[in-house]
Amino acid sequence: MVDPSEPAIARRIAGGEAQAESEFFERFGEQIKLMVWARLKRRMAPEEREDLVSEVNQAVLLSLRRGGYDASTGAPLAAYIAGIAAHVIGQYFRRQKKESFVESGARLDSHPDSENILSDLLDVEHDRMLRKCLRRLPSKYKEVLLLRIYEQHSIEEISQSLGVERRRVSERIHYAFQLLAKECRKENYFQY
Amino acid sequence: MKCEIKNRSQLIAAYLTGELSEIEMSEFEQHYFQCEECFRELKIGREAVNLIEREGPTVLAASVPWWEKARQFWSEIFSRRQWQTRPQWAFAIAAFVLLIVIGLPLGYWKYFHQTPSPESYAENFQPSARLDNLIEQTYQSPVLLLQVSPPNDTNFVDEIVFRWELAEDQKNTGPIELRILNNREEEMYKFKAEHQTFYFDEKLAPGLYYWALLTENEMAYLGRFYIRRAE
Repeated sequence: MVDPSEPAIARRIAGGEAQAESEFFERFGEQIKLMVWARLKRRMAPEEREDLVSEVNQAVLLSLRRGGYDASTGAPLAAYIAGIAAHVIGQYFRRQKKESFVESGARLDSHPDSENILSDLLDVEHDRMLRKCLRRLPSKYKEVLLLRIYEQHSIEEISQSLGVERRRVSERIHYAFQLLAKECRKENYFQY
Repeated sequence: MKCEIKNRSQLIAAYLTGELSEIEMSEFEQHYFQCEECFRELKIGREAVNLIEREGPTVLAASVPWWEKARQFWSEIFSRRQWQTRPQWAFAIAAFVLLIVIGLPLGYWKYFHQTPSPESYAENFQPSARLDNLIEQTYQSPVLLLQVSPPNDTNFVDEIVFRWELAEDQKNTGPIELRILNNREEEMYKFKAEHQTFYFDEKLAPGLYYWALLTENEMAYLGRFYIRRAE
């Protein structure tokens, strides 16, 4: 289902409205970052990741400026952005494989992180809350998170080392994230 | 808009830990670009993954009470390699700490509160024959001083106020020196007195004491007093 406000933003960007570009990144900037992080988190340094986020932002914006999004197809704008982002990330991997990385010239600095004191304070507060919530998790969930994320063991390896079924390991990991989100909601994580 | 995905938490965990196929990943990405609920949980999960990757078991450790932290601190100090290779340093430091911890309170108590044995207590009250003779001589000659206080053999517990009045022709002799001696003729204190009154509030052990007023050239007065134990 297409959000009625999305075609309007896309149209305004195609019409050259700078304000619409800001609104666009306010709406989707964080999602793009998360997507790049999820697809690349262990394969590149954070500063390189920022570069790739800028590259994705640039690609999406250029496409929208050219009027590349057509709402009449019924595809939501989110799907369109995710498609472009996936394509840019794929290109990045292909470039890496060929070991012929070419500087892509001036990148758009379209949605820089807000580097102000308030944002720093919020980050500190979020970090404190998250640590508190992580410490509260029951030990069997902490154990699987450590093995999977820190030790980088596969589900199969964890299953063998703990002597539990594969399915149980996956369930524990899912439940650990679910519990963590629940604890964070209790702490009003998103009110700050 | 409420999220309608049934296995949401499963999908989120799988996405964060890289368990989804490319197609599943793309589908979920299209979803969370629009779904605020999923996106919020994903953000929490991403921060958690970053923390665990960076800090490992530390970030998941339950909060440690202060006594456990202290125990860990000391066990870390003593498990250091230099203590194992040079244990004499560890013993020297331990002995020093023990000395400070026990020695200081003990020293304080011994200095201010120790009860002397009956013999030594009595000795502190034995008069000095030589000083007593001098008292006789100076006391009988009111050439320099008109009045002196406290009178001889007054008992004190703490603060003493010494007063004297110089004879008219002695007022330009300059500052007077006040000395306090114990009964073994050892000098305990020495002060320059600018005025004709001196407040003495130092601690003295119980016993017999002598006090002397000296001008530049001679001893103007010698008297004696007792310090008694507070009841």
